[in-house]
Amino acid sequence: MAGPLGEFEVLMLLAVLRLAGAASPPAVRAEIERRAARPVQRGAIYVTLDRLEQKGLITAKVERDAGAAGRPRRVYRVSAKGLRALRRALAAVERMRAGLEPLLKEP
Amino acid sequence: MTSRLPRLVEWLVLWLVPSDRAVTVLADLEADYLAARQRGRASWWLARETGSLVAAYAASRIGRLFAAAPLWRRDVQLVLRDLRRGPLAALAATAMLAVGLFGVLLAVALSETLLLRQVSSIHGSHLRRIVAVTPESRLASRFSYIEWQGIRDRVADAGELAGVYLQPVVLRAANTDLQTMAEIVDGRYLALTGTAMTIGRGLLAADDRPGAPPVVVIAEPLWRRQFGASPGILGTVVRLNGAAYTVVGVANSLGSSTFLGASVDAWVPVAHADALVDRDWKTSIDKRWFTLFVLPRSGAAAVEARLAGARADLASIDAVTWRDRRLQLGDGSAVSGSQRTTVIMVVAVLGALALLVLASAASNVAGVLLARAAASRRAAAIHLSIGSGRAAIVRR
Repeated sequence: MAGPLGEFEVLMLLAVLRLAGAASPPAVRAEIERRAARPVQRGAIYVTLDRLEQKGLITAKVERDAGAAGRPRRVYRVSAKGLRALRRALAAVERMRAGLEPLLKEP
Repeated sequence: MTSRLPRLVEWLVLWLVPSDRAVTVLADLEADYLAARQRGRASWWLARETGSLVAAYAASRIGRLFAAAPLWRRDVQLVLRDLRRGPLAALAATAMLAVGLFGVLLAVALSETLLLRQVSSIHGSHLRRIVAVTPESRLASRFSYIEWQGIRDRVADAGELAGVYLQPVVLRAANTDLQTMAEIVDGRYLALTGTAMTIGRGLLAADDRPGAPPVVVIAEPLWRRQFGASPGILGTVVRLNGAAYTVVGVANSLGSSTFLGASVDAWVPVAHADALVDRDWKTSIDKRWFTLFVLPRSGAAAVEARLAGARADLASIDAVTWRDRRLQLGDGSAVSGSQRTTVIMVVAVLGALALLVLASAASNVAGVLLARAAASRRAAAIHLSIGSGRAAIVRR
């Protein structure tokens, strides 16, 4: 069983899930920047994806870009183990959040 | 793979990123770079993105290094624990190393300031020395008065030229003869070197004309030593090699000279140097005494172009000497040519030796700390084996 996920790892896994079969590092970065509204360093994306892959939480496949250049790109998918780890992490947040709605509600 | 990324970026990525990922990382970076180029400011964008990649992968590598070497990590932990318990010895050793390192840096900085200082305090490295390069690639930085005038005629419109010659003299003041050094200088020399005046004025171009009254600027240490720092020195007549010169200013230069190691007490205009040097100094092309400096007006290239013309002029006067020599601009520091190379080499060797000694001392300190940590590990093992609890060992 992988250790607990960090906040950024959770965001990464969610972004990879959202992008389905098109989760290349630049796409993951753009997705997090767009939805989480926070800047993400290029280096952080690659290193974190490497780490998640080493933990077995995502799998990678090298594909050729559809464009004229046909560049190679690495596309990620969340593995079953990654999905379980993500559920656990989100459930933990949910449990911690339960009952705090009046405090956490936007004024 | 050919990419449109700069080679340095490619090299950094290929060096830092694991080889099975480097190609895709480069491809992503290139695609984004091409898009950024269309938006403009691509250089800044690329520097930022590459910096981010390098920082992240370098940190990741260091992390993996520690993870792969648990023994190191344990030793470092033990050393840190040991330091927390008895920090005094370690602090003293570290302080000694810091003082040593500071000493080395100070010595290098002093060498830089004293040995490699620029002659001009206001123009810095813009003031350049004119040197002649012989066919054997030796640098000659002394010129005769005739050569100086020939160079000046060519260079005058591209830069401000000044000459200086260091000469021992007998200075007579207040009925005392003093053997000292004087610099025979062009009227613009003190202004070019940025020599500040304590009282009075510096030498002017007007002082350096035939028929002008003979004047001298003296150094502040001489003024304090021989004249009791009296403001009445201005207008006083002193004698240099028996000839009378009126003091017009006191230079706040602490007696520093254009030349390394020389302490100068007086500056005399070239026009009034007859009493101080050989009689044929103006007519003999072999009396090569003057060091020449030039402050380019619009870049060094214009001056160097004119120096080529000056060399041709000099070859028509003295073909034997100037046939194979060429003129070029050198560094405007107190030490130049082969002397400068020697000084840099000596400073580098001494600095490297000092760093070697420091590195040796640092490794000794690290060795002692590791030995103490190892002893601590051994003691912990013995305590465990005779039944001591872990909490007791941690408190030990």
